[in-house]
Amino acid sequence: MRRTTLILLLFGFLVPLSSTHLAAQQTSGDDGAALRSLTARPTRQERDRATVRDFLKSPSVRKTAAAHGVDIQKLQARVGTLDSTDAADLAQRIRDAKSPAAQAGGDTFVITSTTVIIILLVLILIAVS
Amino acid sequence: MTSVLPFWLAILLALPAPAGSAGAPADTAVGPGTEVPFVAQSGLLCGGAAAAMLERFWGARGVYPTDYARLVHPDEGGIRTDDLARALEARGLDVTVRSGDPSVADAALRHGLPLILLIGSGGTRRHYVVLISRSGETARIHDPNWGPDRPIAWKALETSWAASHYWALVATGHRPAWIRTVARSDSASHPAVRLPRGALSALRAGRYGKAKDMARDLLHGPHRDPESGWRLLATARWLEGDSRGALQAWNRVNEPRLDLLEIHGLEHVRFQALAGRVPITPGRLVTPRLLALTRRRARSFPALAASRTDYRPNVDGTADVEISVRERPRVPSGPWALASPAMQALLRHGIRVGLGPFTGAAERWTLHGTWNPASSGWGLSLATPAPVIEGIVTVRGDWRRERFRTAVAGLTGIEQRRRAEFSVREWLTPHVRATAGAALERWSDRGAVGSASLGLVLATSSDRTWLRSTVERWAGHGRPFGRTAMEGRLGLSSSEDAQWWMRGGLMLVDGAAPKMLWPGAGSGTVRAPLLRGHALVVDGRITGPVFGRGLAHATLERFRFWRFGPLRAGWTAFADLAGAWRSAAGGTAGPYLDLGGGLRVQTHRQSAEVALAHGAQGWRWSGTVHTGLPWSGRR
Repeated sequence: MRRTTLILLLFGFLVPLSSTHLAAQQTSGDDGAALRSLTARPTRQERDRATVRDFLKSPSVRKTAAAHGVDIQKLQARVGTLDSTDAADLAQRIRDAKSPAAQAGGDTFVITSTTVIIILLVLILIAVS
Repeated sequence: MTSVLPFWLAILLALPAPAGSAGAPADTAVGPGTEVPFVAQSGLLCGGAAAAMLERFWGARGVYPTDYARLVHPDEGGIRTDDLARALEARGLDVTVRSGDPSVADAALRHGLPLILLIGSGGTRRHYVVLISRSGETARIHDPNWGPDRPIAWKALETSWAASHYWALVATGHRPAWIRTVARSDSASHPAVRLPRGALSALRAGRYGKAKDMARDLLHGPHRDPESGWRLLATARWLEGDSRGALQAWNRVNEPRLDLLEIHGLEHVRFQALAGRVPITPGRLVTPRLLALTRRRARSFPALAASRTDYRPNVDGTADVEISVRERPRVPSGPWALASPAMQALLRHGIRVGLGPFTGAAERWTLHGTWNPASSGWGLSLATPAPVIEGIVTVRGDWRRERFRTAVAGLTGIEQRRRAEFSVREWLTPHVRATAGAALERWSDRGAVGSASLGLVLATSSDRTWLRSTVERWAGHGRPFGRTAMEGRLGLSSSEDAQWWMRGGLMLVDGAAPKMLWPGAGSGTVRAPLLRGHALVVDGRITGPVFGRGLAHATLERFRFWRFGPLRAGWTAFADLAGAWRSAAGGTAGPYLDLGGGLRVQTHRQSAEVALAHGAQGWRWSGTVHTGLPWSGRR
C-alpha cells in the first residue's frame, strides 16, 4: 500500500514536470497579435513600387520628365498597375542609379540613368496597353 | 448639435484664413489625400459612406454605410446633418461642425484632417462628400456616389458647397491607438496562438524556411496545434512573398474576410461600375480562387487598359483587396497612341480605334475598318458591363465584303454581309469564360438570316495555354448552315529570354455555308490560321490552296528575345502545318509544311512581326500584327 502510494505520488509529480518541459518549448502567452503585426510590414512588391513613386517625386526627375514632355502626375498615378516583374526591374534600376558607384560617375551618368528609367516608365505605363 | 470641442481643434478652426490667401500653394497639396480610405455609398447613404470614411481614417475597420441606414429619411433624400454628427460622436469620435465659413476647409486640410462637406447636387438636393486635399485651385474629393480622389476646381466646389451655407464636419480620433474592429465575421474572435520558441524571431530575422519547418511540426508533429501551425505558415509565406500560398494557409483557419475593396486609378469610370462586377464583397472569405476571378473580371473590363489585383492582410484577421487600374484613353492622341493603328494599317490594311468611356458606366466604343482588296469592311461596336445580368455585353454592327476565286474553273465571286450582333461574355471561374450571342444578318446572295452562337474558353492563369471552342448556327432564307471551331495554344516552355509554344485547331462549316465563313490558312491577314509560305490572297481574291469547308492547322514556334522594359524584341523560327478538305480547289489540299523565321516586337498584349517562310510556292514575305489574345475580342 505504501509502495503504491509512493508510485502514485511520484507519477503525479513527474507528469506535471513533463508537461512543464513540453510547454517550455512553446511560448506561454497568445502570440496571435505579434504574428499578425508582422504582416503590417511592406512586402517586397510594395517596397519596389514605393521606390518608383519616390523616384518620381524627386525634383530632378520631374525636371527631366518635363524636359521630355512627360506628364509625371500621369506616371505617378499609374505606378499601382505595374506588375511585380516590371516594378522590381524599375526599382533595381533606380537603386543602381542611386548607388555611390553610379554617383561617382558624375551628374551626366545620373541624368542618363534618370532618362532611361523615365523612358521605361513611359513605355510601360503610357505607350504599351 | 452639441459637442465639446477638443481645445486645439477649436483654436485651429477658429483661425481665419490669411488675408488674400488663395488657399494651398499651386504645387503643394495639403490634406491627408488618399490616406483617407474610400467607401462607396449605396442607396441614399452618401452621409453614411462619408462618415465611414472618417471613421476608417481614424483607424476603425468593418465600418460600412449601412451602419448609418437607420438615420436615413427617405422623404428627405438622406441623412440630416445633426443626426450624422450625433452618430459619429456616439461612435467615439470628437466632432466639430461649422457652417458659414469656407475657410474652415483650408484650416483643417493644413493640419492633415479630412472634412465632410454638404454640397449642392442639383435643385434642392444635397450630397455629402469628403474633402481630402487641395493644391492651388484644385481640390480632391472622395465622392461616395462616383469614386475616390476626384479632382474638382476649387471655385466649382465652393459654389456647390454654398448651397448648404458651407456646412462642414471635422472629426478627430486617437489614431493609431484607436483601432476599433466592428465584427462582421467570426474573424474578430481569434483563438489563442501559441508558437514554438524562436518562431517569431525567425520571422523577424527573415529565416522563413525555419519558421515554415516549425509550422509543419505544429501541423503534423506530435504536439499538433493546427490553428497556430496554419497561422505561422501563412505569415512565413506572406513575408517570403508567396501571397497565394499565404492565402491558402489562412483560409485553413477561415481567414481573412474582406474588410474593404479599394480601387485606385479611376478617372472616368464610376467606382461602382467596377466594384459591382467583381465577385468580392465585405465579409466574404478572400480565397485564391475569388481573387483570381476578381483579377479576370477586372482585366476583361472594356474601359481598362491594365489592372492589378492584390490583397493585403490586416492585423485583425481581415484583408483589404486592392485593384489598381489604368483606363484607356478616351480619344487616342499623341504619337504613342497612333503608333499601333499605324502599324496595323501598314501590315494588315486595317485599323481599329477605341473611344470612351464617355459615361461613368465604363463603356468602350470601337470603330474598325479593313481595306484589303480581298476582304474589306467596317463596323462599330459597343462593349459595356451588362446593366442587369452579369457579364460584358457587346452590341456590334458591321458590313463586310469578300472576293473569291475558285481554283478549279477560275470562277470569281463576291459575297457581302450586313450584321447586327448582340453577345454576352463572362468569366464563370478564373479559368472558364462563356459567351452567348445572337445576330441578324443580310447576305447579298441569300437574304436575311438569323444566327445564334455559343462559345467557351478554358485558359490557365497566365493565358499561355488555352482552348477555345465555338458553335454557330444560321437559319432563315435557304438552307440552314453552321460552323464549328476548336482552337488551342500550348505554352511548351517560357524563360527570361525564350518561349516555345504550339498552336493548332480544327474548323468545319456545313456544305451550305457561304465562303465568307470558310476557314483558310495563310499569312494571318484575312484568316487567322498560319501557313506563312503560302498565299491565301492572290490578285485581290481569296483563293489559296488551303481554303475550304474544313481546315486543320498547327504551328510550332520558338521566340528568342531581348527585353527592354515591357518590350520584347527578337527572332522567331517556326513550322506551320495546314491542310484543307472540301477545298476551293475541290477535294483535299495538303497537308503543307512551311518553315521560316522572322523578326518580332512584342509587348504584353500586342505583337508585330515580319516573317520569311518557305512553302510549296517558294519563299514568301508576310507581316502580321496581333492585338490581344484571339478570344479577347480585341484582335
